[in-house]
Amino acid sequence: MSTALQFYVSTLLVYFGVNIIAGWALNLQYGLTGVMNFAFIVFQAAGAYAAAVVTLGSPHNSYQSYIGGWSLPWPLPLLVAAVVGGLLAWLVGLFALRPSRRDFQAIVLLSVSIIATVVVSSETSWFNGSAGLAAIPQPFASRVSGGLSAYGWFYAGLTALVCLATYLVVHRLTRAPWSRRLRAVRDNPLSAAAVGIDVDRERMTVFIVGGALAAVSGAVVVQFVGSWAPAGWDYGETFFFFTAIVVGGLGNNLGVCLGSAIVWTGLIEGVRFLPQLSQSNLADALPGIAVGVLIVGFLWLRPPGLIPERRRDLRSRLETRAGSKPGSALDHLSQGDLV
Amino acid sequence: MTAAGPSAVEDGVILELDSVSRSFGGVHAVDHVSFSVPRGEITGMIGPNGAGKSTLLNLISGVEVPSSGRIRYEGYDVTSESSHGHAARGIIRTFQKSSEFGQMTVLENLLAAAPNRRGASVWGALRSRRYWYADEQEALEKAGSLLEQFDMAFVGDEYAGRLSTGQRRLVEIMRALMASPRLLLLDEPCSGLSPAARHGIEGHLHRLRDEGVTMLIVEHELGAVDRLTDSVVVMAQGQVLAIGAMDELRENPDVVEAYFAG
Repeated sequence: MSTALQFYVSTLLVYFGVNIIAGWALNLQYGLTGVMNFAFIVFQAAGAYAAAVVTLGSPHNSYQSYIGGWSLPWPLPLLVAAVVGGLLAWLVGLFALRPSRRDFQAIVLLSVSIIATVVVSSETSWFNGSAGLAAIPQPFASRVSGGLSAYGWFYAGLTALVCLATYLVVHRLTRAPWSRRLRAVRDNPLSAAAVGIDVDRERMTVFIVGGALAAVSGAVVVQFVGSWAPAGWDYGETFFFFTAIVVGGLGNNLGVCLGSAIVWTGLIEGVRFLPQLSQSNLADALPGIAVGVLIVGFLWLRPPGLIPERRRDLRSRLETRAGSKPGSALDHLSQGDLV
Repeated sequence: MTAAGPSAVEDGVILELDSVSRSFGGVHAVDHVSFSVPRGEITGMIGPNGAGKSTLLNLISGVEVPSSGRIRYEGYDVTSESSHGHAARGIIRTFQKSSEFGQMTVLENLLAAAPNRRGASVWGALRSRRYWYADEQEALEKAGSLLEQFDMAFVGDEYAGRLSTGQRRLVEIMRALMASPRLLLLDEPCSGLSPAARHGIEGHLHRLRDEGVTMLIVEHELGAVDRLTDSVVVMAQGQVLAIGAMDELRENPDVVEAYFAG
């Protein structure tokens, strides 16, 4: 395999890992809880900027304008990004989640996304405005010998580690009774509140957790590519993430992996290999068109996605327990337990 | 059933409404309603369409906040409390339209309503499974017990959204019971059901009453109201028209004119 091909493949793997982390974050918010976070890309961008400015050296010695400049070593930028993403989510959630209707929330969040891009592009002292940040140091770059391809494989391994750590968190969250409360909020918020679930609090909590994880995904990608600018996180990017989780399977962590592979790696990368058919900009527009067709097709024909949300079979656990005792496990419950 | 004053809650009264009103723009959906609900009984609420029954149930359960007036539950002022706050106190409701968690199984529907469990918060969820498993198992057994009592064990792992209307009504009632209610508010629990399913639900509600659960039921089907309730509040145009047993109400000319004659 040539060096260029090796670097290309390792880059694909890094992006695959980043998109899986981001997909899991959005899956918590939308797939499990029904929060239509149309500002999702803003939280990934916030993580990327946070990681960038704490990794870069002092801005006084730089040709770029930015805040921070602490030269923090890996993995501290990831942790800073998570905190920044969570805090930003809390701040945005305070007003964006205020309307009880999901469509209203979605409209507010979409507006937040558009405003965020304009503000960050215009304000040059924070993150160097529309030019964005560049020359962001790569972690352990000086210690990895073997050139570009070797570092690509090394960083793919690092990304896999972050993916694994994220999976452990996401897996715990989605298998615990808490996820049932989130799905109750998604299925019927009014009923959920009527049986004692604090709908606003659960939405805010998952918004913060998802925001923190999205920010981590941004931190991982920015430390690999070494640059970040507003043009890369336009509001339209959010819908690629939505497509990935809808195609893969809402509410299913494995489905998110498959959806990310199909949409981000298969579709968006795949069109690069199509032959040039004309001089128009059709090739550039193809990923967007394909993603649009894909999401509409799945929502019409297969809304649960390729790997639907797993059905939690609990009766067997009940019966196993009952079978392990003489008589029924339910016998010891008195009628009084009902009230 | 007694007309309630603004004083402290009487013994034997679980819920007291004091001049409760709710307006939407210029429309008085609920207009200075006062009555109390006796503990351990089934109280019915009837009235023609638009009488304000469902709005009143929304006010009592915290879905909406009254424009004026006071609601006291067990002596506490719960007028402005949220819906989940009401549930935490033991006021649990069901809805006129089936409102199950459709993409969750029946058992999961029930477990979602089990209060105060470990693992039901993000911090509990982040801890190891050992931290919350015993608690979860206890809730699961309670849910299993309810399924047995309502003859619904065979659908425990079915998606609630795929059940028949009658079965979904039972899921809602079981889910309400999982939340350990002291006051159960039922909005037309028998509507849209076959006579057999209606009879089954009535049987379950009678049994719950015998076990000490207080209920306030909005119901259109007068036969069911007759069989189920100890006393009935008749509403018309947002106001209480009369309060009493069904036999008495049938003799009341105002009630006959406003409701029975129709």
